[in-house]
Amino acid sequence: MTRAQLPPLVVGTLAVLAVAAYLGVNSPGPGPLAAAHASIEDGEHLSGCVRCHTDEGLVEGCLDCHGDIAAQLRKGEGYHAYLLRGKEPGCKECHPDHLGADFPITPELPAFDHPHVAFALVEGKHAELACGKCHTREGTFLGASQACASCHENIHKEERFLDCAGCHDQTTFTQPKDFKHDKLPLVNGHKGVSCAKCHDDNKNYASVRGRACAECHESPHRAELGSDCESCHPRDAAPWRSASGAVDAALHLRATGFPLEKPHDVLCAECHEGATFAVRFRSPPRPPSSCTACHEDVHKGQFAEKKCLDCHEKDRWKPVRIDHSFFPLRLAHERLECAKCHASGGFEGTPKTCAQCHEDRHQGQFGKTSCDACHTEASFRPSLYDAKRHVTFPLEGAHGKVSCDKCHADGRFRGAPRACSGCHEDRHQGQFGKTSCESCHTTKSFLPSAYAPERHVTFPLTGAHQAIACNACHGDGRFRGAPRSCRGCHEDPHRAQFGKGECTTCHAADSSTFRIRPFDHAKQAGYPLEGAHAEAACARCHVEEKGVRVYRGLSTACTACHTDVHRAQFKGTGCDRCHTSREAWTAKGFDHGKTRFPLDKAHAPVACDRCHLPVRQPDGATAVQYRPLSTECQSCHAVK
Amino acid sequence: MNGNRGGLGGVTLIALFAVAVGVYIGADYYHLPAAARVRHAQHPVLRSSGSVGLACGIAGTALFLVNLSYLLRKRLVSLQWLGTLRAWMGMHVVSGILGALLVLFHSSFLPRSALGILALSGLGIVIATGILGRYLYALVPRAKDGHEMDAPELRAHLLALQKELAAAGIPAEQLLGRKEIRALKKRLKGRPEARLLPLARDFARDRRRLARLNELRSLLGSWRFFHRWLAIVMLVLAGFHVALALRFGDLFA
Repeated sequence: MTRAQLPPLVVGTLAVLAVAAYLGVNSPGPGPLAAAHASIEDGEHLSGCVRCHTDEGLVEGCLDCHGDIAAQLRKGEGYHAYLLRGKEPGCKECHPDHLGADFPITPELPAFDHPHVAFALVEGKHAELACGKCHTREGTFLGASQACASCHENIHKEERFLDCAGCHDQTTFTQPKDFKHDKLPLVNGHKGVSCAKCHDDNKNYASVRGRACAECHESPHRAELGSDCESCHPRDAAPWRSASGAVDAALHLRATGFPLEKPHDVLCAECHEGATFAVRFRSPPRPPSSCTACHEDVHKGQFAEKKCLDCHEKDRWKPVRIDHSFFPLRLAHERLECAKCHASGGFEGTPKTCAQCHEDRHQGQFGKTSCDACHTEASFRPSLYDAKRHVTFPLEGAHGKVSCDKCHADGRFRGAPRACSGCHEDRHQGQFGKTSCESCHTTKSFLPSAYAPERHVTFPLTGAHQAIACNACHGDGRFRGAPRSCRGCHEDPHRAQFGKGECTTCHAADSSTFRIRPFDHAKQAGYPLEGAHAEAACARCHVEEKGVRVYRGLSTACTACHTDVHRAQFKGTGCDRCHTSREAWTAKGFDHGKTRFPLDKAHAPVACDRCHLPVRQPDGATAVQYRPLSTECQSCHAVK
Repeated sequence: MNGNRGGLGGVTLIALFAVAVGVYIGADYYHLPAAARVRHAQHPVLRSSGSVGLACGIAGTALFLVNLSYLLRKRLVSLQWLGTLRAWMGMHVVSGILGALLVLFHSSFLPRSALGILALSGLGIVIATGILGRYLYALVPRAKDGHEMDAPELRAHLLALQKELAAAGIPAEQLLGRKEIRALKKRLKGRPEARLLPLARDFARDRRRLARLNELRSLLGSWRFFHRWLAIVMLVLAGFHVALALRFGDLFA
């Protein structure tokens, strides 16, 4: 540091420190205080900070002012004591300050559920109340009593009913949930009845009427049944209208002479119908053995000479005891509902022949032939009719395996077609005219055909053609007029490079691999393959372009296939001027004596690469420099 | 400075990655205004006095103290055994950047107290001048151990270069600027001597710097004064901030 730098250093430092000191004194906090703390003296200055941030800590500072809470914390009571249970006291976690006057320092608790009190206000009417209904002290929520009577009037008047929560919950006042109504258990019919129904509109709980049934309930029965309801209707019988819990079978038998055995162990109302059964309780009068007194005679008197129990069981309607030997019910008939034959409940004159109940599906084609010649009682299908009886059209080959309706689909058995075309579609669409199907196909299956390759005389099947499936050429089902030229079936991989010439000019059609016939490259292509060219694979020169290997129109120039390693140094000069041999890529034909720098005695034995060094060419690639090349001595020899 | 570039680049990448991870983790929190932050679940951790926020502040302050140890190494030749000045300069840059990033996280990207804002602003200016100084520093020719070369030293260095170039047939005395270097490059294209092109470029650059050496060193000196002064002021402000926080921040309650 120089002396010249000292004054600005001192002035600058003092200026910054002054600003820092000013800010530290006048605005030391991280932000303005909340509105609730606006009254703190010098709250926004350093001197006021200590009012809250005391030497003992921030919590002590808070509690110095908030004495109510301090007192609650000391006693371990109230919401704050509940929140801080087992923790170090802390205020700022819930009541952060220095966030501006508008910041709500007390967090809003829209769903505050009073977790610190036993009588949590989370349900019923209390959940709908505004906070101020209970917290009546202005500016604080502290100090509200939890006793019901502090807000609610004790409508029961008596001191002994002050423990409201002993009977009531918060859901509804009028239906105390937990009250033990042990003198008259509120079960079954009494369950859910409003208290006011018995307790004089909720005004009298001490002395209550209604201990005897008749005090509340009007008897629907005749007077001679008495007032002792519970002799028939026990208090816990459910439902009340069912007296079966009290009126047992023995009582019923004794009183009526009708035993309540199965299936008569039913509710009273099933026999003694209607709400007015009080006056008809002993109705309908009938002897115990008379079923029809209660049950309808579904047979409409057809069996007047018989009793119901002759056919039906006492305890159930089915099965019945009926002698059906006049028409034995076997197989499918055995499983039928009675009503299938005895429609409308008629039993007299029920038909006995097949045709009387069953429709003739053959529509009379078999005349008077009995149904059971082909069918049994087990089922209509399968028929007893078999292939041996199918003599007019022997069922051979595949015909023996198909179902009847494949040929007799329309139910036509008499006069069904016998020619192949009667049932089978002509897949050849008439291409073979009147040639019979049997000349190529058998009844065993349509394919494979019995057609032998030797019969394919119009296009002899040789080479690979022997091994392919018929549909490879006749894929479209075309047998007459199928193409015979190669292009008719094969795609031209050369993309017409050879015009309309026949493929067999080069390829052997009778070969399984479509091999190329001996090809004379000199005569047929006009470019003799000599030296290394004779050994090279065809694909080296005949490369693929756009997916097609190029054979026609190829240049015979060396550079068409070979890279010019001289990078155009000999542009315009044919490669074969120096490289005369095609056996190997050597410059045998080059004579350095014909250049402008003949090799004299000293230079003759020198290796070429001593003078012809690799040099970066104009196109950026590196190549041995041959021309132009300086013939000056210094270009190769360093001058020392 | 070339040797430091890789290391500095790596540190910059790590720092950016750390910032990205930190911002990603606290994205929900950091984008909120101050009043909304206090009810956020991450507030106890990410606020300035929270567990992570306070740790970042302490670590950042510690890094600044480490950062200033560069001045000691520079002053005391006896500390040469602790490494080259070039390496210490790298440490100075790295600790400065990392310290600043930690302090930024400590502020939770929302400094609120006036002194904190002032100290953070000072830190921002120090870092900005540091980045600028990093380029001024590179403009002054330096020896391999990082010390600034004076004029005689630079002249000797240029002479050595000139001899090496002349041995390869390159007339160094003609190399004045980029134009001559381009012409030389064209001339040497494809020749073995082309390998000496970087040497020729160094020669031309150092030659230009020799011509302006006094101005460069004077500029660097002024910058250094300003940078140091700002750093000290920033530290004093940070000291105020720390003192206030310790007294009133209820930090370890």
